[in-house]
Amino acid sequence: MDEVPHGIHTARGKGLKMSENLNHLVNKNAKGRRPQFLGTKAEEHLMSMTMALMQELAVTRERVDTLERVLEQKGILTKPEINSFTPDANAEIERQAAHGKLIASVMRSMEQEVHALKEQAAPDASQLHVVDDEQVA
Amino acid sequence: MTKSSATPPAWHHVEAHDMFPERDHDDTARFNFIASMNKYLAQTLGEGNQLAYEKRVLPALQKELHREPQSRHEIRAAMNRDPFHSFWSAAKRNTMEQRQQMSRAMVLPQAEKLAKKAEGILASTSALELDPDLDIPAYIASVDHHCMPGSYHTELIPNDVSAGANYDSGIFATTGGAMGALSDMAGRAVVDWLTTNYPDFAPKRILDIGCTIGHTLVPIAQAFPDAEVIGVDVAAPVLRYAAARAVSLGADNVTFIQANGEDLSRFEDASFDLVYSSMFLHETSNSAMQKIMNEVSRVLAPGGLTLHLEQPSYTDDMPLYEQFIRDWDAHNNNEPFWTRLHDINIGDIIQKAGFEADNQFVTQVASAGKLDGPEDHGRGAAWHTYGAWKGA
Repeated sequence: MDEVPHGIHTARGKGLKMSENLNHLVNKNAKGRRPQFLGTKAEEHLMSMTMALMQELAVTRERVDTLERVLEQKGILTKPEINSFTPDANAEIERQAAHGKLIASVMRSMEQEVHALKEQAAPDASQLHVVDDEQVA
Repeated sequence: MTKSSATPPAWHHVEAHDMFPERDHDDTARFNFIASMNKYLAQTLGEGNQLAYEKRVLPALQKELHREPQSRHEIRAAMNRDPFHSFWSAAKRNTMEQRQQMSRAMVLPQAEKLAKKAEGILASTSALELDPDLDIPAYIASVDHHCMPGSYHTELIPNDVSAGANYDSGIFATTGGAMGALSDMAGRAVVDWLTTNYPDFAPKRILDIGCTIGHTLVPIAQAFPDAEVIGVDVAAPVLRYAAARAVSLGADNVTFIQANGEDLSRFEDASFDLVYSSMFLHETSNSAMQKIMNEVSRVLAPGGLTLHLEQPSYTDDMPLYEQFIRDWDAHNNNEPFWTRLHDINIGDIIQKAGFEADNQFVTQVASAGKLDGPEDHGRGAAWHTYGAWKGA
């Protein structure tokens, strides 16, 4: 620590590693109670997904608009050429990875419920309501 | 199509200083979407809340209670059962969460690069002093304010600045550009207010409490180039980012120090001429606010000035519906102290800290970049400001 001037390090930073992939933290939950606005958890998820889908649709439209304007300006492309395009192997991988990223964005609220469930303590087995097989029979 | 004043400015107008995270086409498009969605929820759908209240929630509540509602809390309980308001709130909450997600998806993959960049910028300066042993106060550690995962203080890698980059990247979109390309409108508003009203006031030492990324501090430091300007905050990642950001913007009279505003014992009595905070007090607590104000009083020199830019307190003449809607963030955007702060008489706290009542004032500090149309409940570019002069 001493060789680094101006105290950029903190005790809290001890044990942290550079080059760690942080992608799994993108959808991290914010600490604090999340209100339930709608009737059920399922409705909350649907709302979140719809909002995120709208976002990504808007983003995609902006990108397509950019592409078409640039290509048109340069006189490079006509619309029928887009319809006949087939990606090469590299482009295929990149495009599939982009789908993965899109899905993580749209499915955030489901992922966060999984995080929350993981954080939740296991229920006390003695408190569980056990269905008596003989009664059912 | 002509550019309509109802269209929020696109995110590419953000000023990309040296510490600003790299972004691609779709990052920009995401922030463009969130700015438009926020504006739509506030200005197109926002009145639906009041209409639902007046047309069905209030009549049903009057019938149920056999009297008028007496508090914003009664209104909230009733409004939370209303299908329009519930759906609007669910959508608005999601925009807060989406704004965080889009920033994190952009910033975290470049966290290491940004950390190294800050280290490089700061290597030849003394703009940053961290305190490795400082405790994060419970009011910050126990809740991630405005749904910001990990809040201001969580460190993910050594010398992390990602919380600062995340914070910086969202302000332009969530305020519809009202804070300016550098999100520094509050600081510019303070400078405008000071130079208009007190042209002879020339502070030699200035303190910003809860400075986060120094976006308010930099224009003040630049307006008073001969002053020594210090920003304190409890969170190391935002301070690292702040210091590197300020240096990259050419502010060479600033120091960012990791310290808690409740204990400014590292500073001598009567050693500052201007001490201010900006949208900070509502993220503290009852007891912290009094301690902070006591410290402000102690470190201010005679004739010195303190300013606190905040949301207005809810007074008896503010309609209950307005109190309710202004309270939305407290209950739905992880701002728990926001609602309690507005029941507190900040003047009493300032007075208890040793400022005489005659030396106190409440004013509006406004900037030129105000949003068109109705105010977006707490996110406009005008600040209700509590101030006091230190007696000689």
